[in-house]
Amino acid sequence: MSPVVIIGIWFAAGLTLCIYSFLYKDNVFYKIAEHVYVGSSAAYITVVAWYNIMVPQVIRPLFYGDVNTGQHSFILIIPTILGILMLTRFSSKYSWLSRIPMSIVFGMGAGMAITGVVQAFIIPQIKDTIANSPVIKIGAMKISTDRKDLLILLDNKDITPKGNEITVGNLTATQHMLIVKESAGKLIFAKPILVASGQTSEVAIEKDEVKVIKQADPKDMAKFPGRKNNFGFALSNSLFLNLDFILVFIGVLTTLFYFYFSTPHTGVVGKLAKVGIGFIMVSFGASFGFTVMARISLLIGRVQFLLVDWLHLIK
Amino acid sequence: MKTTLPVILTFLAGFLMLFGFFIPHYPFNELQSTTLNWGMIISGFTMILGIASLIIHHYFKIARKVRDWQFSIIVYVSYLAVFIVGMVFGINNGLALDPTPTGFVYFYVFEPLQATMFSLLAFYIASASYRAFRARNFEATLLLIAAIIVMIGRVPIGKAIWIYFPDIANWIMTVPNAAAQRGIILGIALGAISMSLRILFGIEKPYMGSSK
Amino acid sequence: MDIVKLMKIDRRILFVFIFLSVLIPFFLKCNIPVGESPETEALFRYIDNLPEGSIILISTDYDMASRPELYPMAKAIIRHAFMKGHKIVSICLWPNGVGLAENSVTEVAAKLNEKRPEDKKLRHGKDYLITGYRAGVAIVIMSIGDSFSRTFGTCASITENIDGKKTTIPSISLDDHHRLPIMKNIKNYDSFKLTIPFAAGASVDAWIEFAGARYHQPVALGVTAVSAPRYYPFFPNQIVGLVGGLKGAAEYENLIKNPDWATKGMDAQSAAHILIILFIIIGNIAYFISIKKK
Repeated sequence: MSPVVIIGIWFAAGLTLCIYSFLYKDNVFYKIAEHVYVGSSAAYITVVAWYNIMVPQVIRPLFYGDVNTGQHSFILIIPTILGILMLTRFSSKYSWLSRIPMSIVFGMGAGMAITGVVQAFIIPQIKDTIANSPVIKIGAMKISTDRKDLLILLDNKDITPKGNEITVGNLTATQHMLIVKESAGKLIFAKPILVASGQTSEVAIEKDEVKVIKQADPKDMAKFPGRKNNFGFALSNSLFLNLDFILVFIGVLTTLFYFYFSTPHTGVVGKLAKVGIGFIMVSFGASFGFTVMARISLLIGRVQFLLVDWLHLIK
Repeated sequence: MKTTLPVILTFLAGFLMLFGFFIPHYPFNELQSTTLNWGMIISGFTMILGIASLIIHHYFKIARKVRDWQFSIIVYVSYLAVFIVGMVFGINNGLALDPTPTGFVYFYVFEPLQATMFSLLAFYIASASYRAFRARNFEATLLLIAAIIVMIGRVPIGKAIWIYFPDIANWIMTVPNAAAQRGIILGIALGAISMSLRILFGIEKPYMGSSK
Repeated sequence: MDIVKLMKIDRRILFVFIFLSVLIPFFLKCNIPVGESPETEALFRYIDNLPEGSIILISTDYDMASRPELYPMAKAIIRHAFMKGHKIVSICLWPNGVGLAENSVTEVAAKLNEKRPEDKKLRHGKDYLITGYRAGVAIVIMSIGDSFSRTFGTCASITENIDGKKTTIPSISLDDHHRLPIMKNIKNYDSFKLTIPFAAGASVDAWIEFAGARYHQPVALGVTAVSAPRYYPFFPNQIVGLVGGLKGAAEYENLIKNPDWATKGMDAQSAAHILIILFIIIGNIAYFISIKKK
């Protein structure tokens, strides 16, 4: 390790301990570290703004031009001036000028949000809740073979064909693990095969070779993926999946009732909202659990630095 | 002028984006693309705005000698030091074991400070779970049970204790949690649309700032 | 024991306990198997099944505050992609994350290059591309749908180890296809087979909105544990995978059979969770006893 790195690690360890000293009580070392953080982070952002925005997006196209055609984009003077207008915020007399660039950015955001939110959140999320609910999208897999001495496993279930061909239907549209073994135990093939809803993926086994003739395109899988049950033991049992879908449906509906304030929460609406609170509480509990996880992970990161990089106590 | 011009510009910029979506052909696609490009440049200046206001804030702290003003000098010194290093050497970090001066600052000053600062939260969330996380009523109990199952089901030891803990935790995440989150997402989405329309038509003017 | 005293215990004692619960497991090394969740596995399978040479867009939308969670995750996924022969384009939407966007890719490439012959080595401009930061989050994400090169203009300056020598590669125009051959195949979202934002904040919404819904780009998420619960409703119909927090990173490391930092931290994570659950239980017992006494 170079001396520079060693100095750096000791310096970093010192700063880490300065900040942890706050856990005992607020003190001058913590305050120093805190303010160094504020200053250095602001400076880093300034440098990033220069090298990653001003140089590539303003200076290069304005002064150096396109690399192939040499054309200068003088039009970029307009957004640059608009950007500079932003800084008039600090003047009491001209601060209204900063509204011009701000209003453009807000307008863009609003214009983008209207279509974006409908397209990405409202339609697909409602569709997912209602249209898809109790219907499980299924596909199938066809396996043909000219060998009789093979053991074929799909998702760890023996599907060895009686004849030369077997079609396994009722498969959720997702990846399915295919394992082909010789009866002596030698593994020939072990790979996931993609199954899309409404389609049949095909696999052919010839001598020692397993050919995937047709499987779903990963891109299609993104469009029509099936839902895999959480409980491994109930994978083939669609009853569990249906119950889940019904629960999700009830949960979404009652949560919306809880947030619907135009009618007072009494009577049926009140009861539905009450169920909604139950779902929200479970969700908040889950979020709390995940938040604990995140915070502990951050501490783990620092402890790893102290133990491994600094003290070399563990590898 | 001071009020009308921003309202008109907001309307134009917003509808340009909408036209770009509904009519993705010339000239609207080209106009949209140009506006996006300009938007990126303007957004870049907002960063400078933020930094400038930070520097001014600390300047006043020093000038008025408010409590703990000495620490604002540290902000200035560290700002200048990192600024000079960054501007001279660029923002190329170099190789992991052979960093450039900027890389040195990034990994040995910036990283320990920010990462440690946020890791303090681990201690506070632990102390909060001891002091404030109480099964006071039915709702709180639901929250608590869900939290405990998720906490135990999402770490390896959960599976070692009971093989179905991860499955149950995952069921909580994908069924009741997903349902409530979906309800919240739909609620927020509807709110975002009405807010966006209000901004576009000048009913809401978030760009006006404090000075009217 | 006096229950009121137990409830008002000095929080610094709790701090010591939590610190020890994270510290001690590093010496015990129980190595409890990490396991896997369907959301992480889905992304793994997706990348595994992409045709060789696919270009994957990754975005660094986090900074040092979430580095312990997202950096090991990003490295594991980048490693998997490189090992499968895919190409990586790394962009950044958080100003303080620029260095992480650069080093997550260069470190993995350097590590893999150690064992590769000269002509198979991963190189900037050919096998991966690092652009650096651009401002505007949603605006940038939208703009990539029009034109990637117009959105970013240039690549970032980075350092590579070429023939054992430290070589600084300057910032190059993205239209310079001679020096950046990877750019020949990059126009807009259609050029990417998959987009993965590693995000600690709300940029994820914009990725789902604009890259996913508007431009039909398959999106997978690498998010912090704090934001992961919010994105479960999107899986699997709107996102192809969801890797959440350090646990997600550890799962991915194990799926690619390269256990690293995240996996090593899992024992500590288990111990700290058990301790916090104990805190909750003891706190509640004390609370109920104190109510009865009243």
